[in-house]
Amino acid sequence: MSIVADRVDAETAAAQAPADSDGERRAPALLRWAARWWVLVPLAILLAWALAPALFTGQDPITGVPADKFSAPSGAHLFGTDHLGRDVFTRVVYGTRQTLLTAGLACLVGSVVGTLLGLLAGIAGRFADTAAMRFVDIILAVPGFLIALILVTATQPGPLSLGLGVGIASIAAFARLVRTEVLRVRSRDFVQAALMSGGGYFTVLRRHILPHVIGPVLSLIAVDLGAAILAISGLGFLGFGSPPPTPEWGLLISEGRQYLSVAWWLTTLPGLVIVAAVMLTAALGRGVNKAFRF
Amino acid sequence: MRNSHLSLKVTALLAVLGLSLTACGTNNSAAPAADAAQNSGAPVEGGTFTYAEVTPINNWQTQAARFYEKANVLNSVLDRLTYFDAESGKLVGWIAKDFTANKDQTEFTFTIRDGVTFSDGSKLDAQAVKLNLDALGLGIKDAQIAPNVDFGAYKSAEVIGKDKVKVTLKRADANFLRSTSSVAAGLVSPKTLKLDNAGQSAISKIVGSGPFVFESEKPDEEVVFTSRDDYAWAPETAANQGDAYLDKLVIKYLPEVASRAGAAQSGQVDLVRGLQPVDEQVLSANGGQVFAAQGVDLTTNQAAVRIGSGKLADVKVRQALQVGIDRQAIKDTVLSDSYVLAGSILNHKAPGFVDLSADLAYNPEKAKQLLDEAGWKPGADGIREKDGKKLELTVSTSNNSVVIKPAFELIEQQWRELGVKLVNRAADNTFLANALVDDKIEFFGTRQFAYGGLGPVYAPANNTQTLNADEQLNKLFTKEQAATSEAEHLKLVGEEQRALVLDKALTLVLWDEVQVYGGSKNAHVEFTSGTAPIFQGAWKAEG
Amino acid sequence: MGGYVAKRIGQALLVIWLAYTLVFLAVQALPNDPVTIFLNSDSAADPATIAQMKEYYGYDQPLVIQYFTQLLGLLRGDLGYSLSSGSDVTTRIGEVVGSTLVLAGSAFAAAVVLALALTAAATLARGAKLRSALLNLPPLMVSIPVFWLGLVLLQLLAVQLGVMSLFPDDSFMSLAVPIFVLAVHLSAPIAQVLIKSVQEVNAQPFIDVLRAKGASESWIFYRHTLKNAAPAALSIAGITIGTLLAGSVITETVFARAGLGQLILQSVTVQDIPLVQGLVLLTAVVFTAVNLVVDLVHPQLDPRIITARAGSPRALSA
Repeated sequence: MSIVADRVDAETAAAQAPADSDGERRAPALLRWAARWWVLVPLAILLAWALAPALFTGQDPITGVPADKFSAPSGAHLFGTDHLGRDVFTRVVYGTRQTLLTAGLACLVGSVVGTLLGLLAGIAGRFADTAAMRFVDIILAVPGFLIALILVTATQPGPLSLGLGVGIASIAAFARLVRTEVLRVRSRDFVQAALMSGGGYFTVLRRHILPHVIGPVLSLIAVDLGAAILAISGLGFLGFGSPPPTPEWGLLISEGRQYLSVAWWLTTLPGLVIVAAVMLTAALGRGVNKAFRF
Repeated sequence: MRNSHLSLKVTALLAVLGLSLTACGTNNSAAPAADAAQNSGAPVEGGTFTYAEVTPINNWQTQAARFYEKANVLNSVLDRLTYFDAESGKLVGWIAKDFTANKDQTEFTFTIRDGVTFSDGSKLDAQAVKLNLDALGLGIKDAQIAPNVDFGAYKSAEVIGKDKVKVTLKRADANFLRSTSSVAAGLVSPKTLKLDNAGQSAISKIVGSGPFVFESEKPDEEVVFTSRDDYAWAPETAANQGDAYLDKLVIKYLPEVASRAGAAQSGQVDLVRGLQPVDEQVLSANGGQVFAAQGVDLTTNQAAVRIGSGKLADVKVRQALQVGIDRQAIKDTVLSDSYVLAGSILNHKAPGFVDLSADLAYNPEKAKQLLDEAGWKPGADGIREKDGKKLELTVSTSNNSVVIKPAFELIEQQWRELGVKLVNRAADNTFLANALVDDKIEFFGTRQFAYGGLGPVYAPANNTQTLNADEQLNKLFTKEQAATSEAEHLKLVGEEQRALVLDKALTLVLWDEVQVYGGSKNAHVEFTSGTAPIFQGAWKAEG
Repeated sequence: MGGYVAKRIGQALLVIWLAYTLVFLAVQALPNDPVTIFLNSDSAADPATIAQMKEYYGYDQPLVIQYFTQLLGLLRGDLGYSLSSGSDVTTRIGEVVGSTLVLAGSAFAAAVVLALALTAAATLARGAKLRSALLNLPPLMVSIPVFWLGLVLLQLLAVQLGVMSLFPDDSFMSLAVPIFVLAVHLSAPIAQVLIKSVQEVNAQPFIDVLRAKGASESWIFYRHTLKNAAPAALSIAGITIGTLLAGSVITETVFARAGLGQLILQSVTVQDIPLVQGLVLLTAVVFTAVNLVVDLVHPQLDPRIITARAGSPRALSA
């Protein structure tokens, strides 16, 4: 999917949090509690799907019953079955792990490299700032999905290449966010005071700057996770996904799209799971940002 | 297990989406009389015929026309010396009104028809044919064009008298005549042959003598051809001996498989290639037509075996996998009644076909036993291993067949039972680009044009099927190509099949090649033995 | 100011050159070269033919020489020959660039309109519930996979209702639907930035003063809030180029449109390196140029930018 836009969204969503919080502060406590559970419970379920898929379904994700192919959703098959008679719900549940693993790697690459670059730009002087920001410009100037395409073509599609390819594209968002935050915090009086009073450079960094940067970064990671899921599913759609029978969310939709006219559930139901997951991680991002506010 | 608030919202959304999409599937109230169109009357003159291919083509160089998306269009733009009549199974005259071969199959004489012209006005005479044969047999160095593989034995051609061309081969080739019927042996104007690589690759610059002539092009979106009014040299057996009934032919592209049935059903196209099995019923129930064009000129769909990785070096392993495929289950699950299961590497209608289906019957017990005998023993994870290597095999195919990927998904399931792991990279064109020439990729899922014997497909050391020259096989191919009677030739073609499929098991055969097309209710069209639509004889009923 | 402009242009050129170089190195990681892939595309080619053709197109040269030859060609405006399409890279790109420009340009305009409408609605709508519902729309819009939305709309409009063509033609619908699909995804981040800055502006004292004076909410919104919030939205415009391109690949695939996105996909699939590099150069130039313009226009709208740029980095670096 449009990798960069999702990162933009991630950046803004993270930055948007203060605006939201004003509205919610006035809301009744009960509603706030409900809002939190709306996000946390489904996320916990997703995590459980990834860790112990067998607890949620008794069926086989990769071997189908040919006679049952293209069954519409029913009690026996919550999300229906696919062209080989495999249970789609089972494939969604088992696909969670691969999806989160790949998207997680993308986030890790983006956040770690991006944060380091942002810190460098924010504190290591003017030259480092220019160099780091020009590097970010280069990453932005080369379409992110092209990087992913080349990487997947050069190696083989799998969690590693897909995660890395998608992750590189998100470095820019993290770097920009961290740099902005560092500059904002650094100009504050208490940081200036800490420096004046002879605090070591790294002590100030660790004690005063990092704590302020962690919140927005964590929040961006949550949003970025959703964006990465979308980006990976987009690559799967273009034919750059893991080979079958791997159950992976994006692949489920892109493989099911061929049968759109006879089996709507193949694309629609996994599609809704993705929409839900992306929205949940975005909500989590806003929540995290609020929690880390000083 | 789901949060109740969330599920409420989700249910509501589902209901809306479900309704809107199921409305699609069951929309058969308007099922007009498809039959009426089929009991045709006389062909209707005029009209524009829209044909949708599966993927855009930019490089139209003639000799590289082995892809359907190229061949299907060039078939109506370029004429050939001969034509293979699928009905009678015989080669008949086209631009060559007569053709003969010497007993040894080393010399061939073509008598060129009078009065044939290219669309640029120049004459398609014996001299033009000679120049084309040279280009096909020797390639065109200046334009970086390689020789046609079917012309591997070609030595030279000379013009004799005013209308005869004599071809001399380096060695006997009983299949030479039939390869002159291939779209990849299409005849172009001598001026086209003089263009550089870019010129010979551009559809706007390729000049042929066929029933349709290039008019305009929107790159990646459409190509428009107009009928040539003075066309009067159709193949001998063609029902329409004059110019095309149609005025215009528009080629478009429909890469999304899901859109194809709808395109034919709604009449947005008159014909579309690559209709998938599940859509066949949908289309006919909604008033469209389903055409299954049998690929008589092609091998069956197969997984050609490469032994480069060593895992398939033992013939027993290959034979195990051959009987480890449940072909009937493939047909029942991912194919349709339009498909015929393979009985050999050649299709049932090909001259010389031998039925080996009894030896291809699904037999998992025998497969396991053969694998055991070959020393591949089940490991801890169920996958067989030998000398520390796992029996993990990879298959690569192009993405142009709508059924090949699901078929290998099913084979992957079947082989898992045997303790064989199949990495299914089917329908991944990016991977294929490299896998095509990598003999460590164990299987290449494909079907190839085979005009008679199987030599051109399997003999060269760098043939993309096996990427290996098998000495015994090549002796057989040479013997077959030198056959001096038809009976002997067919017998040897039979031996080739037995060797390839059973004795050496270098190809795992799947189903006869067939291209399933979707047609609108008014379309009338027939197909060549190479599954190409014959637009020269096509027409549209009014209404 | 003149010095600042010159410096920014210099930096932009540097970024383009580095991006080009980076991709030159990256494509070397591809397992094959265009000649091998092209010649083997229907049956394995004779190694001698491959070698001859490699020599002809210069792929047999050492990397460094290839790089500088290309760079020199670039300065002359020659991007090389695309073997897979049988034409010059510039010709090939020229054939389809118009189609993408129309699609992407219109989609961007539509996205801005959509974002403005959303912002206005989310700010001015009566009832807190409706407003918060509208606020949740952008996250939803960005969560819908582009290809899924495109496929469902195509199936519905073209196949079931028959109100649009499955192929790109000159009709209104065949352009409007792809534009809509692309705009939905694109407008979400723009709307989020706009909504955020509108809320920030609204929190400022001068709005309260206007309110106290009896100005109507919508008058304040259109005359003051929006005007003050615009610069933030402008700054995001530059970044959306990449999104547009990525979205174009998918939209063009779904709707069978010709375009740059399709071409990128194709060129990577057949490893047509000159074509890949030509396309990267094009996107890098467009991206950098748009951002340069945004950077140069931005201070005109919001004088605080220059001050912040010149002021803050010096604060701690000493």
